[in-house]
Amino acid sequence: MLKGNLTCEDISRLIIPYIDDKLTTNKRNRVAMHLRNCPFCMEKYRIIKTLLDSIKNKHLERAKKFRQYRLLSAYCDNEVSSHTKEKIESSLALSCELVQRTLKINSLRKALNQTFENKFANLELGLEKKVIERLKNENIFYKIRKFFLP
Amino acid sequence: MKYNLKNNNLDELISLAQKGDMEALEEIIRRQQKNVFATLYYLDAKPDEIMDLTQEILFKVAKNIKKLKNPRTFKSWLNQIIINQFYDTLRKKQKTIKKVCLDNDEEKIKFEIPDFASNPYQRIIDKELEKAIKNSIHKLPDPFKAAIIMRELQGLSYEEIARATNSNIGTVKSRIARARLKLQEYLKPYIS
Ligand SMILES: [Zn+2]
Repeated sequence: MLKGNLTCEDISRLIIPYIDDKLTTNKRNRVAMHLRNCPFCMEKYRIIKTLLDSIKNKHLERAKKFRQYRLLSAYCDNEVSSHTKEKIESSLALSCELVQRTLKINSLRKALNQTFENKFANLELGLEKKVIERLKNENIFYKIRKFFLP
Repeated sequence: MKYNLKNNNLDELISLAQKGDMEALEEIIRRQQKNVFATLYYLDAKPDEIMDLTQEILFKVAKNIKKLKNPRTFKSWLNQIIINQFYDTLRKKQKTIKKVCLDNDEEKIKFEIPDFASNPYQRIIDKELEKAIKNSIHKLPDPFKAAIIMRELQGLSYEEIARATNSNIGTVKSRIARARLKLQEYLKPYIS
């Protein structure tokens, strides 16, 4: 298979592994050679390469943005090392966008905390007596059973 | 109460309870019940089951307190019990639902916790926000939901959450961040 010159059909199959650098040196060289000599495949290669690059960049961008958000989120919870904290604080001094993002996290936290607090502030469940009662009854039951069934 | 336990901190109460002091145990239950109830509420426990479930969890705490090795890990331990009990019940119920009923239009029981904000206008606004928050939390995927509840409702540290959910701190960090991103999106109309 793939002896001699590669056909345009071979190239369609190999173009993505070629872009991802998943081919052996020998195959890679042969694909490159075909591309140099075939404007049709070259054009195809350019289009696919641009598309894949932009997808990859979007992924990287998103991942980077999330990493930053994750760090800010931990910072708001006071769950970062003092070294990281210092670094974040000096970035905050330089970037309005970061400050905005931090403020948003904090307003979410405030809304949640206040809501939780108000919601249950006056809730009286009074379960403690029931639970203790049940535990005592169970203990008595076990003692009786132990006594009769050694 | 024979003597006043109200001023004892949780660690002290736990070590008393582990020595068999029933009054200390009762005080622990008294302090934790609201937490348990609120956690179940935001985990989306069914209204007609939430009280039973709360009681069951508190009973497990009372019964097993002697098995807790380090009182410092009480919060993680409690949350482990909450989560296990909650998802166990859910799983069992899903099984029985599949078996029993296809067309059971069971009556939905209305369930509202009365709120006590003093100003009536503020009360309406709070109520809207509360509903939106509750619905948004219910929409979160399970691991995000549990993590954000433990963090924001109960104030657990990342380490405590990691211990309760059997995961590492990095995962907890990510889950909380993801939960926050989602909540920010869902609650955009309510939070500036
Ligand atoms: Zn070609």
